[in-house]
Amino acid sequence: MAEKPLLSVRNLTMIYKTRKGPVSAIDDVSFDLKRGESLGLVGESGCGKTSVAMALLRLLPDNAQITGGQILLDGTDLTQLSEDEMQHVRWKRISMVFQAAMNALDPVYKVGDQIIEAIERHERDIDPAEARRRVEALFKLVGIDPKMADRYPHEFSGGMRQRAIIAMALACNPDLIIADEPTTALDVIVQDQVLRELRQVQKQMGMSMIYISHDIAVIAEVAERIAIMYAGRLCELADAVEIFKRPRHPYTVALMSAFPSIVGEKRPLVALGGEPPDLLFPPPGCRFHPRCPRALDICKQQQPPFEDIGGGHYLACWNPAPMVEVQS
Amino acid sequence: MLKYIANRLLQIVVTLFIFFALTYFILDAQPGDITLQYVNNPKFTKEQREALRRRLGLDKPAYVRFFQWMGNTLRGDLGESYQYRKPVMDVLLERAPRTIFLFLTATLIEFFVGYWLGRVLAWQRGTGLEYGITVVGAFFYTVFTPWFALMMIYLFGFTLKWFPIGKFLDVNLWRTAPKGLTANQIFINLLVTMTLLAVALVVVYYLTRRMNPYRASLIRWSALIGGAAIAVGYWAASPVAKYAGDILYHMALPIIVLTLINFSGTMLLTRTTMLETLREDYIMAARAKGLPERVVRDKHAARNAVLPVFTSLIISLPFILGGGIITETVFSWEGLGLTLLTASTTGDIPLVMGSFLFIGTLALLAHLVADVAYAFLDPRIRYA
Repeated sequence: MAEKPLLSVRNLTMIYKTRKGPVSAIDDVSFDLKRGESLGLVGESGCGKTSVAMALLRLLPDNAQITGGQILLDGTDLTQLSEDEMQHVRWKRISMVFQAAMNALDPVYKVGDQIIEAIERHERDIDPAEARRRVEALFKLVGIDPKMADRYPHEFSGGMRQRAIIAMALACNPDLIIADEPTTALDVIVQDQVLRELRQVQKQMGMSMIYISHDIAVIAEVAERIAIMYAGRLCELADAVEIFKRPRHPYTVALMSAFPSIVGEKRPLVALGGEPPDLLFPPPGCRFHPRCPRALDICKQQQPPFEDIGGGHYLACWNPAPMVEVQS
Repeated sequence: MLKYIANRLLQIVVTLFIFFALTYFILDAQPGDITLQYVNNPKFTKEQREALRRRLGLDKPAYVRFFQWMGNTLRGDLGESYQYRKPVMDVLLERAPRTIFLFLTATLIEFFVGYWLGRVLAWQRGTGLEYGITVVGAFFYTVFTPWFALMMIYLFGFTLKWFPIGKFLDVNLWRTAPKGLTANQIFINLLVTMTLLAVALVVVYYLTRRMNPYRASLIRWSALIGGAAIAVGYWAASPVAKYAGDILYHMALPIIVLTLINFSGTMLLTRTTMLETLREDYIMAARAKGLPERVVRDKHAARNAVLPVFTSLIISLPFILGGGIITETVFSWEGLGLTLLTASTTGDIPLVMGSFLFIGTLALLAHLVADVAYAFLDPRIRYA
């Protein structure tokens, strides 16, 4: 038996209750995350990536309901904790780098004070000067002048705000950081710097990370393992290299061929036809079958199991693509 | 900042000049003048009325009189009231404290209640409590003020006899008052007490703003209760306690009516802005940090939602002084509003202009103070 995972998500299922009926946003999602490991979660908009992140922190909107499965953090099932106990998990154990860093800082408080607020929440007896020193150290770590701690969010540039948000996420030295498209709002150059810093800090401090993005190129830079999500379900999960070299799920294959490669041969980009399904009425069987070029009859009737096909490569497909090396 | 304030003061002077000119000429466009009240008096001949008009300068064209008034005002002379045969300044100094004390108290209570309830409403979204309070709020927001005030007087003043029916003091009680004690002294001292208390509370608020929210909240509430207790204690121990109490007793019903009529505007506005703030990402971030719900609500959501509410309070300030006319009439509260009303219907031009001078200057200065205070409330605002 390998080392026990830090986080183990087991058959997680969540719905949004709407007036038209339940929307099946997360369906039977399972994955493990080791300590210090970095997992990329890829999928198109609306596939449930952010819902997974919010479910881990139990910060779902009122109409959301976890209807099944477990979220085991060091063996404790987070879905069973009370709101009060959950507050102590948030930030102390699992913190988050937000999608919209522009707006994730409260405009009326100094940035440093907002980080100190988080530290003081989880370390009641900390000396204010000590908290202050930690904020300055964090700012140095993410490459911001420590003096900026006394400034307000509107005095920060976009990249600085994103770095401040990362500093905030590190403040309580959590076991797991969830980064939800943290660089989408930044220009490519700043995006690259921030990514590198985030990855470096995560490795240095030995934290686990779940990195969520629709951009597989970004994921490739930060993740050791990659999970592909489609319409609320995981369709493939494997080592980053494996996913890029030997994708098996037709959806993964389609994703790969939709991205241009700089170093590889020139090849035409293939766009995937059709649209993601309406999760109010998800298609029966495999949710990808209406768009799948390899769909069989069984795909329309039965949901394929999400199983290890060898070497930690998980796959949910009745008719996987042949094992060919894809050049990238 | 100083340059900004100087600039604004200059703007205020220009605005006031336009305001005075407009009111003066509109007032003059009214048919008739003060001498018309003697038209049915057989002892007053037409010639005598003409002589009176000449003596008051009413025979001169309006623009001449306006500039004369302006010149005198700049020299600090507001003229003499036609009705009261007293300097306008004396009349105003007598009436203003009553109005300011009544309406300032009512506005502060109304703002506090409305803000507090609005916050609760936004937090209790979708519950029966929210619907209930919103419907009640909408009723008070739309009710016809004079009717409601009269109903309240009928119920609490006439039927239940809990509160006096009108005026701001009991004449029989004040006959026994020590020589030299006037109601105005009490009003002014009450105002001073209230201002000191308000300043102290702002200082406490400022000093506790970085503290742990639970501790800050505890300190703030104890400061409020303690400060109020000291103020009440001071007044109860003073020799004029009986007379101050009489005034406060007369104030109770008007304050209740004003609060009921006005709180729902603040409440509904707070609710709306609060619901908007609750959708902001920094609220999600505050929750993700593991902060307790109350801290998320009070320290982050409500603090941001207060900004537009504060603006609305400031915009309502001049209406408080002017709009008090109805309330003062219904409650026979002889303050600025009632004075302004009788002065303008009888053609007492100096008194009308004096009241407007007072109300206009106060309103514009209040706006300036509010704008400066806003810069402290919202760090994104800077005046260069």
